[in-house]
Amino acid sequence: MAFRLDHIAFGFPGRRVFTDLSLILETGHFYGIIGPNGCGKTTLLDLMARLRQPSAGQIRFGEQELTAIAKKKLARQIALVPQNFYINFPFTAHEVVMMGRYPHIPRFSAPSSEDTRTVQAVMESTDTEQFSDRLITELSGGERQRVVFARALAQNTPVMILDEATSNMDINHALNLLSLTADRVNKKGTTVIAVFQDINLAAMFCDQLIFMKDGCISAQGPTNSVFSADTVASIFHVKAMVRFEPFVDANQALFHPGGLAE
Amino acid sequence: MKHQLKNPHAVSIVKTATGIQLLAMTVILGAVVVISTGMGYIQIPWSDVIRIFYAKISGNIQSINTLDQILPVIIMDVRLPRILTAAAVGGGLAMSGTVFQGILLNPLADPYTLGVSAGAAFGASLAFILNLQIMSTLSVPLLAFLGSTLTLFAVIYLSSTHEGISSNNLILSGIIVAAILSAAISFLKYIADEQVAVIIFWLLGSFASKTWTDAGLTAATAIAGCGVFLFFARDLNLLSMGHKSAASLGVDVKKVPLVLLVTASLVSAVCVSVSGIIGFVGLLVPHMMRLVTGPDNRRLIPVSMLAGAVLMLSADTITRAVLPHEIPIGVLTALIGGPFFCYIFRKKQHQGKGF
Repeated sequence: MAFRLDHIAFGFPGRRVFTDLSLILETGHFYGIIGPNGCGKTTLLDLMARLRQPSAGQIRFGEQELTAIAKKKLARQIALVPQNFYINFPFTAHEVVMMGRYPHIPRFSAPSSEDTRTVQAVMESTDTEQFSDRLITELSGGERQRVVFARALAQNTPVMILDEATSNMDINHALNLLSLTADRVNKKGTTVIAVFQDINLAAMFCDQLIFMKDGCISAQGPTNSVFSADTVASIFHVKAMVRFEPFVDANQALFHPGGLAE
Repeated sequence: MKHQLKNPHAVSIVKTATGIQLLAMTVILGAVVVISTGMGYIQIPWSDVIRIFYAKISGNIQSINTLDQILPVIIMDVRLPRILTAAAVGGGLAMSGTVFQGILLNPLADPYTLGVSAGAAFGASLAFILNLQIMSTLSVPLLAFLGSTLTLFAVIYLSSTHEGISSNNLILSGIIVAAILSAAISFLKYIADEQVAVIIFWLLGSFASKTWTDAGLTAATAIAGCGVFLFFARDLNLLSMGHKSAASLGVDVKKVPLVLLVTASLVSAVCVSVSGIIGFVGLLVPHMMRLVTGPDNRRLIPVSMLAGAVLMLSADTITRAVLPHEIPIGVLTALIGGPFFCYIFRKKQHQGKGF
């Protein structure tokens, strides 16, 4: 078991996000979280990455309570690709990816040859090696997102949390990075928890889907059994047709441009 | 741009470059110290300066018996304290500027953005007005230091929310508090009568008649500050990736910015309380040095410190020994630094790099 959230409550001043949310995530799955804007997807990820503390309830990570784990140690367990990232200073792409190794490198030490090799391999596989020496401030939004994704891969953690991590990428790179991530799930037993806007993209890579609405989990289960027209209609209020698509080997949805589901 | 960082030696090349930059800056600083010690109303050849330094350090006074006996006195009692104070203040301000820009993610941040200078100025003005007899020589720097630290904590208090401190809030609070304090300073000047000249002179900044106490205090503060900054330099790099990324890479995003903020403010408060208000060094030096070292704070902070020391000392030597009349150094740094900042700013815009 990777995560166990027990009766979590959380809110911002003047706005409750979760009143009583419970969720169990098992190790070695690719979880996709789907839901309308403002339903608490990012907040849920923030809680699991310990960027925020729940006001009530308990979050367990593995055998331990999440808050009991030292920050440095947690950074070797969980990598994050945040939704919004701004990089204000002109680091090179290579320097940014190397930052993913920092949790593994003692404070005053230089990167080991293993760190250098890891960064090199990740940059090659993510197709970011071509702008290795370019300044992150000069890259396009999609290129920058690939560098930040590469940084999370270089962190080489058993858990990865992705918050719309491919939203700015072209389809080629989005598929490539998600395949790399899915490979880690299949080969190394990595646990991935990813928020998606594109439900069809999520269905292609995630073996488990979690549908959220108004701070509650409304459906959770294996992708092809939980991803149905009814679920999509009840979550997003749109008319959809969902069918198994052999070409991508997963359920896929088509949306009706007109009417909202009643 | 097509060059690829394929070779595993790249890291060691970067390390060597850092070593060379640090060594070069240290040599330049040493040379500037020696040259400016020789300059002044009485010119002393640099070879004699080095002989006197060596004799004082080794304790071998015999070796300088052939020189005019007034020279060691001029050097050790008059010029060197001032020179070392100027270098330490320059280094301290430049280093704090680097850290402020890093934490506040704002290229316009400098030691004065958070109202540190306004607080110091208010404290010093108050000391002049009250004409405190107790600890007469220390009352001005002491009240200046109190003023700047109290201002800092007021600014941090104003800008802190339940999620920690945000850089926009900090800068806004700093500007508001500084505006209130500068109105208060104007009032103090208005009621000051004959003290008004002293206040204005202090506000312009000067290293004239600094003592070994000043030099020791500022140097010790700058070195201690540098230690703290270097310890957290890697975390500061991560903080410029945004708080979420930094936290996910193991940085304590509540503690580290606060520790750095308070340390940088204390370093600049000590500098300001000794020298008065000297602008632009803390703003300009980090920008110039970032072009040389890149944004990695592990290189940028020590190089900025040395460069700030060189720049401040050179500027002070110009006012002291080159210009026919000594003008306040704060005026000089603003007159040279301001246009130069405009030049760098414009150049960066042309390259399309922004800040």
